[in-house]
Amino acid sequence: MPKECEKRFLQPGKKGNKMDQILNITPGHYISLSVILFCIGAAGVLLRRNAIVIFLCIEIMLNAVNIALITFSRYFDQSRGEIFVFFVMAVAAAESAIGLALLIVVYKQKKTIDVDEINLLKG
Amino acid sequence: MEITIVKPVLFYIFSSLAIATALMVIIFRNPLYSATSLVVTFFSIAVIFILLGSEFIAVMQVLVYAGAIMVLVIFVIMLLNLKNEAPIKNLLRSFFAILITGILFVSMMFVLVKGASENLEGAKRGVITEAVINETGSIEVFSMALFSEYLIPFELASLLLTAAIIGVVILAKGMRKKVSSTGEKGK
Amino acid sequence: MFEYVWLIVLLPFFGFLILGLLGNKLGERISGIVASLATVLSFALAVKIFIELLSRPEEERSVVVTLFDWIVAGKIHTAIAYQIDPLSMLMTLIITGVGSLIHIYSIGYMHGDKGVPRFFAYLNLFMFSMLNLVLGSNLILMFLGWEGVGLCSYLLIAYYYDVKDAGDAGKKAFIVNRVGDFGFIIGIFLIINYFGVLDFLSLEKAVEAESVGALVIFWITLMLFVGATGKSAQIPLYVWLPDAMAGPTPVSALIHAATMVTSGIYMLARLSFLFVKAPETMMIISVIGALTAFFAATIGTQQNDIKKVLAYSTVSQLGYMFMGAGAGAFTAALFHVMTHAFFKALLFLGAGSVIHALHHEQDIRNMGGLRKKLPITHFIFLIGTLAIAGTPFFSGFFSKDEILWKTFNYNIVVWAFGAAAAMITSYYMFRLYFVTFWGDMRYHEHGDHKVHESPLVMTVPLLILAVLSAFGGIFGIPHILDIFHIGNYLEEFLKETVLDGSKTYYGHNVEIGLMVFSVTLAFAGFLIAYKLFYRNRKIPVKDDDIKGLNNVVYQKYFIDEIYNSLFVQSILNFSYGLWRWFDVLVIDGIVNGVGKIIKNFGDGSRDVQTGVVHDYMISMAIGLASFMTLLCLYLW
Repeated sequence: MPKECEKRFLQPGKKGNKMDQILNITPGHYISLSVILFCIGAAGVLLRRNAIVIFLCIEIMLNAVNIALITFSRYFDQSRGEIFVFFVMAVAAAESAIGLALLIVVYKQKKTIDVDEINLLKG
Repeated sequence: MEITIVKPVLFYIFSSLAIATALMVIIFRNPLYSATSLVVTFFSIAVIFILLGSEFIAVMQVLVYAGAIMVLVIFVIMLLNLKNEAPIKNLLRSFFAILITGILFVSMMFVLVKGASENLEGAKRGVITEAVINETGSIEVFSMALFSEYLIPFELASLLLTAAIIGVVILAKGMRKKVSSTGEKGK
Repeated sequence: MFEYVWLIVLLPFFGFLILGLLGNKLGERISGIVASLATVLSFALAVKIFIELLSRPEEERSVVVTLFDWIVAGKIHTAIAYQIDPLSMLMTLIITGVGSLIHIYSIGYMHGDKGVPRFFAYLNLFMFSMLNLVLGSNLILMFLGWEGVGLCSYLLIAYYYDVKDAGDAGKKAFIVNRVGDFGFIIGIFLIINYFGVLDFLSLEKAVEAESVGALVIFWITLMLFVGATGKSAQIPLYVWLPDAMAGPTPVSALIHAATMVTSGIYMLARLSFLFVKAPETMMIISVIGALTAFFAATIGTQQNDIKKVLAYSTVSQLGYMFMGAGAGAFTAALFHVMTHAFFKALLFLGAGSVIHALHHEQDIRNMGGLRKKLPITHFIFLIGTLAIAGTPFFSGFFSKDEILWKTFNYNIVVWAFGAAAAMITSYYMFRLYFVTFWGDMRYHEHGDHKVHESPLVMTVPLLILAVLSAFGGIFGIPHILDIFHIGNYLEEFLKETVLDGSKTYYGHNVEIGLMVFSVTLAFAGFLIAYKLFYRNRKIPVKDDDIKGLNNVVYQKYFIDEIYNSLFVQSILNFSYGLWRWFDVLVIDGIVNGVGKIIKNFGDGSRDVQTGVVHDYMISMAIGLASFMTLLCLYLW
């Protein structure tokens, strides 16, 4: 499937060889990859009920964003994107630590990890 | 085979791998399977980073994400002894979820196509061209920027991590109750 | 000395401030002294300015001393300015003079009452307002004083605030006054609209210019007269004055006899140039004055409370003044103001002396034979009675006769009512005198409160007032009685300031004949009272035994009850209806309704928060998706 997607949505403006379009990896390729991964992550967040799996899908989304950032950093000849990614990773690490700790505390209280069951904020 | 064909091939292989394993993360019922798939996803993304020329970030990806975060997650899964997830209960919400995601995907791709039709040549560019990186080395370039222009965020990040550590300790241990009978203050 | 005229007004005000702030610390004695001192100093200053005024030639006797601009807005340009001329100085002398005597008297009378410093503070505030009224050079400053005396009247009538009757009387006085003040304000508005000026000198010139139609002047004067009926207790707004007797007796003497109630006459005299242009209003004034004089006199014949008799007597005498003013004889009316201040204050203070001696007994049926126990009081009360009845050569005789003569020339019917009222006045005053001071001693002596004469601090002012009541007529002896070649001082004095609108049709013989006739009437009244109450020792009966016509008169012709059912009850019912229907249903409905709407809205919106994280996340995703879609559309 990915190949078909790549062929369809591609590098516009280039009227040359089809093979050229496939073989020449432009930033558009990378961004498409980022978009797809992001949407997969979003779908996972909205569909799954296990809190840990939701957390994993959030990580997928973050990584998708990282790809996009690095791409733009490379293709605009800057180092900003990379540095941004650096900090994103730092934050993700911190956030995962705290998130998992919170998860454990909630599990101790509620004996379940299903987010649909945890609705104390109702009303 | 020309060197130039290596790049596209690697790109297609590893991007497909990334996408596939990402799908597996959201499809499997067993949380442990999801976690393992995600590890593979991370590795493939690391390769993508190398293809883009940021070796340092690729290594960071493997170290931090695959090495630390996923280990933590798998520990927690094992600790809580989680079972498989039950089948979908709220069909309406799932339908909406898929719908929204579809709209998101379509619109983002559209924006991408439209936006990418702009010529990248005329855009404002920085100074760190590929030649510079080849000469100085990507890590040196990266660290030069990090420790000069972005020093303060760097320090703040360390503060953030400290705060996270303290928070985790408090959350895990909980607050001790004060003991008054023996005159010993609660810690 | 003219530049210091404002000091006359402000000295009592400083007294008020000192007593209001520090009164309780100073104590009863010192408060009385401070208040009296302020008033006496004002009087001394007034005398000095008066003498200085006399030394000037007649044309220069009108001086305005301006302090500063007060209200400057569009057409209205008023200043705090005081006008020194014969009319205002006459009133000022009366007010400060009689006022000083009453202040000194009060030191003795109020001894032992609670809250005496407050009493003196209010008295000084009253003096301040009244002096503003008479000395002010424009209508707004006069109105300030007008309102101020109304306020002080309320404060002083309701002085014994823990007595329900006193509080009710105070409220009644203030509210009825207010009705009159409404008319006064309308008059002022009309003056601003049609004349554009408010100070008396400019107004006089504007009226002389004759630029405004007769109908407008009629309405202006009528509205101003409505104000006067409220303040000076004429029909129909007199009902507050008898009830006002619930206040301490010095208050009744000062406010409701000598000063406040005469402000209506002062206003008429001050604006005489305006009123002479409105003959219809003058007729109305004269008729109402005569009717009031007669009507109140009849009520006075049946009253059994000393102060109530004197109260109705005041209403009646005020009717006289208005009767004369309506006939155009402003000077005669002012003369009667002066003599009335003397003898009515004397009578009230004398009554106060009796009440004080009998330990607050006010019903004359429980008095009698007091002339032996209270000789001085008896003597001065006799002088006052003779003066008010119009006994020849006492002050009241000259002023009353002047009014009756001028009224006779104006309208015989009006005069007839006035003459009848004169006879009835003589009757009820002597009735009061005989029942109180002669006959058997019907009072009870309470324990160790023996009946004794009042202390010096009370009797000396009484004696001074007695002298004035007896000989005060000397200022206005009419020309035909040219005994001792004195001439009519008052008329000469006020000639420049107050217009004389009266006409004289009949000759000197008629005037003398009239004089003899009124003396005969007074003597007839005296005779009837003498026969009934001295010879036959007749005592007025107890309340339950009063029947028939006597009862109707005793109950003041049920006027208060009529007013109550006509006006008071209807307003009360209207208010009740408004409360029930409008306030509770509409206003509360709206206010509570707003609350209910918000609450229901909140209740409905509450369900959005399900507590399930996925719902929130879907909301976020929807937001993101719509944003991206918009971006698409934008780029399209």
